[in-house]
Amino acid sequence: MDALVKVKNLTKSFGSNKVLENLNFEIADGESFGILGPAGSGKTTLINTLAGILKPSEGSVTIAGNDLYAMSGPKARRLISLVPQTLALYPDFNAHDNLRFFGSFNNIKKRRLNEIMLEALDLFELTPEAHVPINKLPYSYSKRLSVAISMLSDPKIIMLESPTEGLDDRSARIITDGLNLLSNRGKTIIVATTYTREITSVCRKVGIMHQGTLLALDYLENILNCFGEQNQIELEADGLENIPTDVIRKQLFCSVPIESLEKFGSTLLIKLESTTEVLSIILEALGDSGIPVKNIRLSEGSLENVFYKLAGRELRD
Amino acid sequence: MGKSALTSWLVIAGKDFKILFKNRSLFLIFMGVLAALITLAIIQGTFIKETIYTWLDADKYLPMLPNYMIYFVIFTSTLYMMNQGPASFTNEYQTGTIDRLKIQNVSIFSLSAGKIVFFYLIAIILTLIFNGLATYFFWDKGITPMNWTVSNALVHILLWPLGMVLGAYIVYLIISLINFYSKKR
Repeated sequence: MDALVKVKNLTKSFGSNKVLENLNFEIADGESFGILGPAGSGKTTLINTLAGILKPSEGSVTIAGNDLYAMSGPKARRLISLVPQTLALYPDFNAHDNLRFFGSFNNIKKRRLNEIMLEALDLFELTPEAHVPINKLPYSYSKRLSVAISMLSDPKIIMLESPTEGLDDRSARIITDGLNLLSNRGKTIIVATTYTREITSVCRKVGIMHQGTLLALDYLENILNCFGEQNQIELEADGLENIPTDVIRKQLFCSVPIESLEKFGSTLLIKLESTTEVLSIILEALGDSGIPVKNIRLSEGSLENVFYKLAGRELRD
Repeated sequence: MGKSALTSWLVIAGKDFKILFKNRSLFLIFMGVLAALITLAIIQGTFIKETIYTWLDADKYLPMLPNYMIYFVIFTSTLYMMNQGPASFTNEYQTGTIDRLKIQNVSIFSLSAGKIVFFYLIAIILTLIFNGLATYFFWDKGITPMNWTVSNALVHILLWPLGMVLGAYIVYLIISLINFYSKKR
């Protein structure tokens, strides 16, 4: 995929306070990219700079080969949409009024705007209460509406800051499903958040930020593998203590793509790329060898652990 | 000024009009001001007309005298609504909608201009209602009650309200700047 967003040597300072320091990365067209970092790490400044609201002190941001800050307003408007962390809505208006107001700046024909509005209302399950003022509806409704507004200009890139913050599981799911659908349609999604669940449910690529710098930047599975956070199976079975680890690996599990295998008495600790596909093969191999499984525990790689490992003690404080 | 800037002003002004009728507290303020002006027009057309204009040359002081009474009300209420409530200049910053507007290429200048258009239209509506009522009470004064001419209408219905709204905006700006710099220290 070609790079849609190119960030080169990006630095942003407010007076003597350097908030972003020499950031370099690329986001491919249609990619879903996450910026994960604790409060005060510079996420908001980065996303506002990528959206063109703030200008960098040094460095450049190009979108589809064009300098973002030299781009005309209407051109940038067609490319980028931003969902701020705050609701950024008019509480006296209903969903329809809010959508129509923010949509009226986009130079879109009324008929087309109506179509997009209906689609946005439907995608984020807002239609039944679309005519009720949002100050009479729960917070989760407003949050979903806030994300729906990002669709109005039919942008190439949708940037969001903590889109599911403070939401119940159902509403969070509606938003992440909607974003995944938009991503499948070719939209580039950029999510800046402190919550790992938002990254894992939407993004393929992630940059971990701390104090204005990127500590890690790669595809999610690569980051998990790199920091020893693979999917893991912990398995306890009678008779395993007498079988050497090499034999288990080469004979018993010869057809299983294992990253690493350790044995502690009758317990095996198996690290894998994927648990779901190989679990049945492992159980079948043990069954065929007449080794009864007493206990089994699955755990998936945790981005949260990587986050803590990287940002260290300061994050916990 | 481009077409899109003018469109932005009108969209912002239209949005604030919609809020005026949807937000109860803002609507109550508007209705309060309207009630005050209607009361003034009634007092003007009944008690004051019977007393003051018996020894004052009505031809000389109409329509300015009753209108001067309402400009202060417009100035004060506009300043109040500019400073707080859902149509105020700070509302977009409090709700966070300013970020959404910025990315829609609506500048702070366009936002402020749109709000000034809104307050100006409100001021014109209030002035028209007041003068409509006051003129009704002066109907027996002649064919052109309250001396309404085109130039008088321009000055008292369009220019003075504009002056009051811009004056309120300047006062609002000065107070905001003083506030900003005193907080900075």
